Amino acid sequence: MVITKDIAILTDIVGKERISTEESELFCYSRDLGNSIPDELLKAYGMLGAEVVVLPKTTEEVSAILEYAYENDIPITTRGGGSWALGGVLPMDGGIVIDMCRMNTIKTVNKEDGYVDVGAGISWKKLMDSLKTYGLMVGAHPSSAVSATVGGFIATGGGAGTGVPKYGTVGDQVLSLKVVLSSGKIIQTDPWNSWLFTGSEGTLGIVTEATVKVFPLREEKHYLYYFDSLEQGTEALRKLSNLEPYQLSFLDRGFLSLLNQAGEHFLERELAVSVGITGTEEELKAKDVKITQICAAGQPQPEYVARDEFENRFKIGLAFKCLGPSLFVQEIRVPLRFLKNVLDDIAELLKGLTWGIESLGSDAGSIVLSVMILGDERRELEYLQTFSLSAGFANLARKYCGTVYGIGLHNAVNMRGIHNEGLDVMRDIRLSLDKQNILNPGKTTHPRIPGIFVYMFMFMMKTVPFLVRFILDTMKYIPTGLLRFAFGIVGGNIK
Amino acid sequence: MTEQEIIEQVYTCASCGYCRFGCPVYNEIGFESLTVRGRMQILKKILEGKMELTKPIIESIYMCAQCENCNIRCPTGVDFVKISEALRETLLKNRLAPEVQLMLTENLARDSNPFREPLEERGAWLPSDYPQCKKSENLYYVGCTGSYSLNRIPKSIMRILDNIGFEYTLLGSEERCCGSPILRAGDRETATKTIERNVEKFKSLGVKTIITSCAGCHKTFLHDYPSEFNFVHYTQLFTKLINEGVLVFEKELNEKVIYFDGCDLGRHSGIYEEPREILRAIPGVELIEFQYNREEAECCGGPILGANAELARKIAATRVQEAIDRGATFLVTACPTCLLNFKEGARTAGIQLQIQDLPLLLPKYVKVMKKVQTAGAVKDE
Ligand SMILES: Cc1cc2nc3c(=O)[nH]c(=O)nc-3n(C[C@H](O)[C@H](O)[C@H](O)COP(=O)(O)OP(=O)(O)OC[C@H]3O[C@@H](n4cnc5c(N)ncnc54)[C@H](O)[C@@H]3O)c2cc1C
Ligand code: SF4
Ligand code: SF4
Repeated sequence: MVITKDIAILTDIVGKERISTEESELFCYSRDLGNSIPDELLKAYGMLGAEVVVLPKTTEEVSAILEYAYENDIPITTRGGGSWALGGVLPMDGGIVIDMCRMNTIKTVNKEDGYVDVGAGISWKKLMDSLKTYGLMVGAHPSSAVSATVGGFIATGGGAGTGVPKYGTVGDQVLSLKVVLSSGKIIQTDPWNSWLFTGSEGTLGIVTEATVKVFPLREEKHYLYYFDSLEQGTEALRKLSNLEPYQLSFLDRGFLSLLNQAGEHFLERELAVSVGITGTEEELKAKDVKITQICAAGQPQPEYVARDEFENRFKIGLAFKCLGPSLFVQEIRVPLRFLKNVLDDIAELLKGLTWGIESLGSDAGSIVLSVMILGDERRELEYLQTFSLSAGFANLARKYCGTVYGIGLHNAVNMRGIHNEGLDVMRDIRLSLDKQNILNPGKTTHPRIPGIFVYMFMFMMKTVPFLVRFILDTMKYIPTGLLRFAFGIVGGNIK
Repeated sequence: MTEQEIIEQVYTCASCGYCRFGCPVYNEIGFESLTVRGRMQILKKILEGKMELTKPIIESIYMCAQCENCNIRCPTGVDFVKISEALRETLLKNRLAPEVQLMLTENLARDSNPFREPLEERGAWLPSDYPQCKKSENLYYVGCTGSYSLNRIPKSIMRILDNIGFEYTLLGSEERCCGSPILRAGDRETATKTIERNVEKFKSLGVKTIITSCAGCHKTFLHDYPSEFNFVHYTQLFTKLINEGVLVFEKELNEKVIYFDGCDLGRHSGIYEEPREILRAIPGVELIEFQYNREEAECCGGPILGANAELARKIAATRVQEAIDRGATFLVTACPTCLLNFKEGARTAGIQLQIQDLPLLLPKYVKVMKKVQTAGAVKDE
């Protein structure tokens, strides 16, 4: 627990303008993209919520905060843009939330050697916009670039997004990181040991600065094809991935239909496949011919339509949220060669629900599927059912040699199934770097098990859904207060 | 916005945090509770009866410049400015608004200007023999800032209008606030009365076109007044006059000029190119741009002067510094609020840069080539 003395010391470190213990502030820092997670679930997880929030501006400040937290056993949760859907920034054990977004400067732009050195809290959009002035661009960026930070994308592994199919994942972009370890020690990594912190989800150290590769801005060309057949569309995607496109993604029929219901104007076909390429004029010409051949079975759209869709990539994923109004997102990474089977299995798994799939380009012949399931969090118990789908998605991905895209809080309970013995190695690494286990507790390798009744409910959902449906139907006639009692959920506010 | 619409938007917000990108308040302070995302999360809990409406929460509702930068970034269509207007209205009705806002609303209702200046002195800047409230199809609507604190702006505009023989009228002491600050404070009742009174006045003089030099007035006319009038900002009129060869710039202005898209003229009224066209017509001007300009421009902070003057000035100083960093030697605005805030912000932060409002540049550089009609003249002080 954070006490008055701790606040005084933290205030000395960052100054009184960059620290808050105000209740509504702490509440905001105890929520993230998944703001529609029912309070009851957070409560079942035992989340304590932020006790103090600090906005450091320098690596030295971060180091001083960690050194103090380590000595006094205070949990630390690092927060970037808070745009990740897996609960990574939820302060499970209370303590200090470190908001990195003030560390947002561009320190060096080296055009000749092709790198930039930036504060980890800068958003990808700000970085990309600034690089344009120098005629440069980054290799890979997420579709959430408007709010996602460089540090957040690195910490979540950045394995999918624009640029990934051509330049590789975010780990391939990193040349060096400045990292503060839980003890407060500052280290500068080389390209090799940078990989340890890439995808560590805020559990091994706090990235405060990153040196990432940049590339000369090149001509771009964008394509959009509609496919009437899932087989032809998925086959085209597989072949297109061999061309190392800068952008490769698709929207499925469900997604297109939901977009139209929200006022957009797409054709409703099995798949809408977007490809973007960059390069010299000759390179573009050569790829143009191949793309036309590969997508011969599709219905091509004018280039300006394709470009528009590309420009709209930051917004499109959330454009139909109003129809929910809640959105439950499941992300898995699967080999492109099994895409058709995976899509069929997802349709089976989600029968009776309203959903759509958007994909993010990945590397090594894989693709990341963002499955968006609509719901209404105001119908609490019904909405809670959706959360039981995580295990189903993990199994489905495994069946096709894939995996869940990220762990965080929500997939941590499935870690043993995902990593088998590898989990023990990961735990050992974590504890060797963070003996006190103060960095992002309750996530990734050290899962938090939700309260027993919620867990039972989810288990039943998985095994005997018809029984649960019967219970749910009956419940409509029982007062809510009684229901809360029955499910071991005590109403009220979680900090 | 109705309560039901607010509830829908609160649940629609995805908490993606895009709204923080160009938010002047968030970018200066850095805490989540001052972002639309934070406010939506808090509002949801309040609506669900799980959180109390506390003083910091109420204050955060007024720590918003209503600049609409968040609107352009939002992927789910949340319109926080509309929500904040509705919230301010409710807070005011229940007398839950901060003390300073309550006072401001009372002053606005009494004086019809946000500066606590006496109503009867509104036309005092005009020469006593200057014809006011005559019948005319064209009205030059001066606005509160022009009438009370920056008379040089209307005088510059009038000098040009008079020189070209443009036929128009002024309301002088009969002019009232357009309603913009009253609406912003959430006092819809007074604003509605003010608007009705103004519309009556316009009609009684046979006015068809209303020319403005205050961006805030122009925006309010466009959005809150009946569309039977033709609302023209002076930058639109002068661009037309330049293109028709009526106005010509002869004297050089050898500066690297950066034009600032104030929110009321830019995002709220869609006027981006006219001020730039005027500046480009001045020989010697090298026009440069802010990193985020036109629709994406980031607010100067001026609208929160009432709620937190120190913060407003800090935001202004950040913009002035960016202008310098981008190589500008001259910062030009077309909004009196931006001008005042930039000058104060730069002074407080000790930053040196030439800052001027567009109309104040014009008389010095412009030459009238031909007359359009005849009208009276305005004398300088
Ligand atoms: C519309 C939309 C589109 C998206 N598109 C993509 C996409 O294309 N590809 C993709 O991979 N993801 C995508 N995401 C998910 C998410 O935006 C990304 O994972 C993003 O990179 C997270 O960055 P953030 O700064 O928001 O991190 P946060 O959500 O703040 O944090 C995520 C995790 O990283 C940790 N962390 C954050 N910063 C640091 C740091 N400096 N040091 C150590 N740990 C840190 C946190 O503790 C947390 O565990 C998308 C999300 C949305 C809403
Ligand atoms: S940008 Fe829109 S959807 Fe995203 S957090 Fe802000 S208000 Fe909510
Ligand atoms: S209107 Fe402007 S100041 Fe207000 S929240 Fe939106 S971006 Fe911030």
